[in-house]
Amino acid sequence: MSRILRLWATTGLIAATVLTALVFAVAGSAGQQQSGPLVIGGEQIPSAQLYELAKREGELVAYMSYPNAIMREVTKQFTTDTGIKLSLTSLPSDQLSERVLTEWGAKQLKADVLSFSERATMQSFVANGILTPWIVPRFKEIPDKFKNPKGYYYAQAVIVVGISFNKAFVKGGDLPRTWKALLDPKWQGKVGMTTAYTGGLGWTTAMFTRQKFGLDYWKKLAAQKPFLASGVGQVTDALVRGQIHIAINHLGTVRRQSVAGAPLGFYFPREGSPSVIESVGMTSTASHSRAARLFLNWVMSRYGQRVFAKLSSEYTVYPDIVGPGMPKSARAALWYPKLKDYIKLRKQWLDEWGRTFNYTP
Amino acid sequence: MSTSSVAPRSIELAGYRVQRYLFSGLIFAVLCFLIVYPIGMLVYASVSDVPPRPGEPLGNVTTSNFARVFARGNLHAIANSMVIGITGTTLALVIGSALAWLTARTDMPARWLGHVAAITPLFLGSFVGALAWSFLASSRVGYLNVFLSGIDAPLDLDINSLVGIAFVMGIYHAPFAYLFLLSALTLVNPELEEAAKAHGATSWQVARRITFPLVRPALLGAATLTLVMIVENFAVADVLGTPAGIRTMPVAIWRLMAEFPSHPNEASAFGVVLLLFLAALLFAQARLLRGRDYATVTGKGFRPRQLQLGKWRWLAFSFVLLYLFLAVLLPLWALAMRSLSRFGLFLGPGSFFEIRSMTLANFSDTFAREDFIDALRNTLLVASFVAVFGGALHYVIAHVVYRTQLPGRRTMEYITMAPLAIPGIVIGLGYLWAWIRLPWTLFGSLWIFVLAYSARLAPFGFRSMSATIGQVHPELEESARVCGAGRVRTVGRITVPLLRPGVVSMMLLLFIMSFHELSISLFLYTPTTKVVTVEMYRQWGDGNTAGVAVMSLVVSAILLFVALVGRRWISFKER
Repeated sequence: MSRILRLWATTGLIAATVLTALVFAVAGSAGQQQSGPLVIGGEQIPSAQLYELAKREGELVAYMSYPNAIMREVTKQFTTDTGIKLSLTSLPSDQLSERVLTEWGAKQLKADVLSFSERATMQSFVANGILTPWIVPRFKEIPDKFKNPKGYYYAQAVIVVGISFNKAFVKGGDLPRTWKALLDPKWQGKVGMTTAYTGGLGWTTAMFTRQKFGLDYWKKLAAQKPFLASGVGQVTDALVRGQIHIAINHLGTVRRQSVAGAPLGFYFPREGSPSVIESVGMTSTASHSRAARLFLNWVMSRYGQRVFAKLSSEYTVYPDIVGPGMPKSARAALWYPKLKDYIKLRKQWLDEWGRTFNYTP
Repeated sequence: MSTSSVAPRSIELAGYRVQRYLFSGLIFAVLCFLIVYPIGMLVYASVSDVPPRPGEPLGNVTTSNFARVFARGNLHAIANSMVIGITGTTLALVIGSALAWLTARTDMPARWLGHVAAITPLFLGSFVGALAWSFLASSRVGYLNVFLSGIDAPLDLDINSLVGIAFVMGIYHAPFAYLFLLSALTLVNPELEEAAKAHGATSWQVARRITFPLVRPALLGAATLTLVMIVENFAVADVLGTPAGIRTMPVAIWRLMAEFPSHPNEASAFGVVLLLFLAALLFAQARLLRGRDYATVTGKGFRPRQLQLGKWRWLAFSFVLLYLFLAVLLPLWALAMRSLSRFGLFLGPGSFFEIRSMTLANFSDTFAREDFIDALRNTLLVASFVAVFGGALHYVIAHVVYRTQLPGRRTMEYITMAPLAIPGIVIGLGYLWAWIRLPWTLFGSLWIFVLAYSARLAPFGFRSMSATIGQVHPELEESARVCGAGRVRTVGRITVPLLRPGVVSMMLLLFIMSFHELSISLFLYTPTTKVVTVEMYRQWGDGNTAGVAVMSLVVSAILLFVALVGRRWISFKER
């Protein structure tokens, strides 16, 4: 009996030694292969040291308000490029904010990276210490309106709102080419949009129409009995299925659907297009802080912005990088809210919007 | 030394007493942790001026949260809940009682089909039902409307309306009314009916004047329970009501939490209002039923008489088929259509039959998504654990309440039944705030779901177990005890084998209800602990209706499979 036991023990010992040697050999060769900075298309994303430390962390948790379908593809590319696994939770800005505050209060904030279309939220996160600054390598090239001056957050995408339509129901000559044309009674019950309470996109769009055309525009638009949704995806789906024929909508999402074969078209109205800055920053409690920095470097690099633009059909912080199908010329007509107005007018105007559209948040 | 013969006995008695109190205390501790503590957090939030997030300072006591509940235009939500609640309950009762009566007391052809029709919608669930009906009957583009416009019918169904929501609530809550009424109808003593018949009453008179009054208490019970379930239902109201701006109480509470900036204190106050309303309803029902004489409704050996329907037999059968069609077949067809179509755009009736334009891409896309696979695995794990551990807990409580003399067992019953009056969307908040503070990492693990679901489903598990325990006479257990078996051994060798079919069906119930849980999960999930309903809800919010249709089909298939396997297992053991 004891002889059999000894035999088993010896065999086990030999097997364990061989396995350990193999594991070290493989790990060593992998490390050798990938040491050095990460360089893509001639652009250095992180330094060799940051890259090495980030790889040791190996993973990253991101909470983002950007539409999940697109963000998933962007983060997948990040993983392909860096080998770092990114776990993504996508929720609308408002729901995400409550989650972050609760987890933060319990000292259990799981996210290393946060992104919000709602800049007021990002500002409040800076104020209460949830975000921590990180200066990305291309900091100086990024225009001021697309970054926090101290590097607490950056615009990972510039989201543009325009008018979209279902080609099966709306023919060329019939198109409402301006914001005011949406008020034509023939579109009654056929227009859809997100509510003004839907993150940065809803509020920026409402602010744009109010500042450009006055309260009267809201009243006339409300009289059209629009389909109101609490997310871009819902508006797009209603448009694709023909429930509505025209939508005030995120053009990146519309363009993706049309590329996939949906009978959708879109355009930039002559009076301008409200634009929303999707800001991204890292948390002060990030347990994968190196991977978080690497992600910020990656997404704000020219390469990262090209990836984002390609997958999302968005505009970016770099004037020469725009998504496919998006005219560079339209950039001049993009309208950005002033951050001060954005925060100051919010409460009063949202209340007015709710009363005008008979919508209780 | 003179007390030596007395002392051991008194020590033994004292030890027994201590043991009893310890066991009782243990159960109370579990119930307090699972139910009382989260409700306490919620009540605290409703009267505080500071959100109860961890890390926030203690707030001041205020009643302004309640004042704002009634000042914010939420009266609409309260009114909508009432309209949907009453209309939906009426419909559910009509369908449920008709099915129960036809199945239990008439000679309708293929009565087994009545039972199948009444039970199957449970496996689909109201969330999936609402999703399917939004494909079927959205204004203009709903599949039924496409058919109607194809034949130039001047009719446009609109499921995104109060009537539409009440309709969906009604058809998917009818199974609960059915289950509640079925046993009552089966147990009505036929002697009374026969006596009436002997005195010249017609069949209809017997049904109206004898049978109906006898089952009235059960009907009232079913009505209250269904009303409570419909009023607190979040998923149907949100899926169908939100696109049309129709808001019910649970949806209003969710929006208070979900929109920016959130109003946690106001949401809690609204939650407490809803809780009090539902508790009042249940209390009123208990008061109404108290003192009723149930003597005629007994389970003694008789076979209930069957009413001869005559020429109405086939009409009754058509009613069953119609219900099966509306609650199961049509919704499944709609889900299949949406999942096979790339964009869900159907321009005419003919487009539903164009095989060439159908695609399996939505299936491959959905199955390629790790989020869905992870969520499905998580849900399977959580539902199984709830069925086993939650089921065990519910069994222990039911056993203690009905089979022991332990101190405080009535209070245990009240606490266990309390979640019935607490809407999921409300208690979800309570769980989040109560459990996220704990020193060990509960939040972010699947265990938080197991605990939350076990607490939430406690009334169902407990009721189901009490009914089963009630059917087994204590004499059998007492005989085992007399023959020298210990308490644990008696439970293991006598009670559990006798209760096996009941225990299995309770576990199935818990498994299915865990699979359908959405409102609590919305507050408790993290990136690595999503469950399938949350994934479906998020994809719905993202407008990925094709993915939602695929996921709905998968979930329905799993639950139907479990039900089939479970049913066979029970009948096999019974043989």
